[in-house]
Amino acid sequence: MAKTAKGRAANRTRERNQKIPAQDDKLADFDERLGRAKGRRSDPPEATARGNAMGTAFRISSELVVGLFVGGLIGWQLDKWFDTSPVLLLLFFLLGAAAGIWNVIRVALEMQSNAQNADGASKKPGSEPASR
Amino acid sequence: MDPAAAKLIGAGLASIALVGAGIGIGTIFGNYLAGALRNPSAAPGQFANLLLGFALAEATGLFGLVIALIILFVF
Amino acid sequence: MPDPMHQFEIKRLINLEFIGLDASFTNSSLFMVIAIACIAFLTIWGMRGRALVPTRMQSVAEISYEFVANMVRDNVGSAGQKYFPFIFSLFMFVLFCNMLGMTPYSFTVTSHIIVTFALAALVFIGVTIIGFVKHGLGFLKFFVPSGVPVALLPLLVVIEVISYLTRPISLSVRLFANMMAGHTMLKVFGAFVVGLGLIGGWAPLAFMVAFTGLEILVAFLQAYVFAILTCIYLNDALHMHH
Repeated sequence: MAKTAKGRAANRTRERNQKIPAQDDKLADFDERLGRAKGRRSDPPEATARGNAMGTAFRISSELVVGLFVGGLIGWQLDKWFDTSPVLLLLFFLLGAAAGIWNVIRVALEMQSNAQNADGASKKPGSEPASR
Repeated sequence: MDPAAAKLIGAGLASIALVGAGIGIGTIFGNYLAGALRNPSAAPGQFANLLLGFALAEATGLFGLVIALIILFVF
Repeated sequence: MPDPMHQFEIKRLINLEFIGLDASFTNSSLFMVIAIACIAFLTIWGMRGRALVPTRMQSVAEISYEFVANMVRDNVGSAGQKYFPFIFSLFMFVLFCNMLGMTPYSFTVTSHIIVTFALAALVFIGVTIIGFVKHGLGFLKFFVPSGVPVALLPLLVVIEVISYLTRPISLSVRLFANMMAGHTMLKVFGAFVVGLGLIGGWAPLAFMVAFTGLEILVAFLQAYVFAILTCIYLNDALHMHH
């Protein structure tokens, strides 16, 4: 055993330094496993207001109404520009309605595909009864 | 009555068509839900028909709204 | 019956002017400052300890950070990490403005269309600029849906452009309408409670209790929907598939 405090400290440091190569191996191994795990994790697919039905409900209802409104607004403004009769107003109102319905359909399709992904992920093979 | 007032009343009456749109959309989605709860595995297959039905029901209601706009701005 | 719209009035607290425009410090500005002060207090003071096992305030700050970080990662992917500070600021600002409006005698900042429109326009213009910067003029291919017969293409492109232009308006109107309608309802039913007095006031009071709970939920939900739609629009601009 070393006689002085400084000697004991030097012994401790030497022991610690001798342990480090073993720790280095473990760290290197961990780094490698971490790298492989990170490579496996890819970007998750797009998701809408996942799991939150009320949020999606707000979104869908407002998309429909605002589509009409924006179409009408654009049509009315173009009418004032080109000084045509309200033909453009009606035309763009209809286009705005189509855009609103198209947005609603797009949100519904995303919701559907999310529900299917969630269903497919939770179902494990062999958990369903074998068919005849 | 003067034409301006008649226009406004006409536009208001034409907007009543949206009641039909509301009932139609509610019926379509309600029936889809009832069917989906009875036969969940067949539900995703009919999703496209659901959206088609919704678009058509909404469209007929919007025709009424277009007529309201025509009354207000064209005449 | 007292006027339920009185609560949305803007009152000038300090009269200031900037190049002929009215830049007074109003009650709206006051509550924006209070919201920012609360957020800053929560995040800065909460994280002072930096303990590994968090204290309560640090836990709240960490939960809100993780919530928004997960939302950004799930909806935008790893390319969106650099926009996290913006989304976090946006979410916390809208959340705290909504929640502060639920306290008695306060003013709801987001119940004015100009405030919500400013936020939505910021998001819309920012996301469009990001799209053009990242993809150049190829960003315009976003409006051309794939697998469509060429004859229908002009019509569908116009519809796609219109549906893109509805984004800022639907963002702003959704938040504004929910906040204004909610607070108007609260005031109207409050007036019923006082009007019906001791005998009949219990029924609207019970409804008020339930409705206040609903409004707190709606306050959080509207902030969440605003932030998540920003993430979705950002994702559309960064990775251009529909």
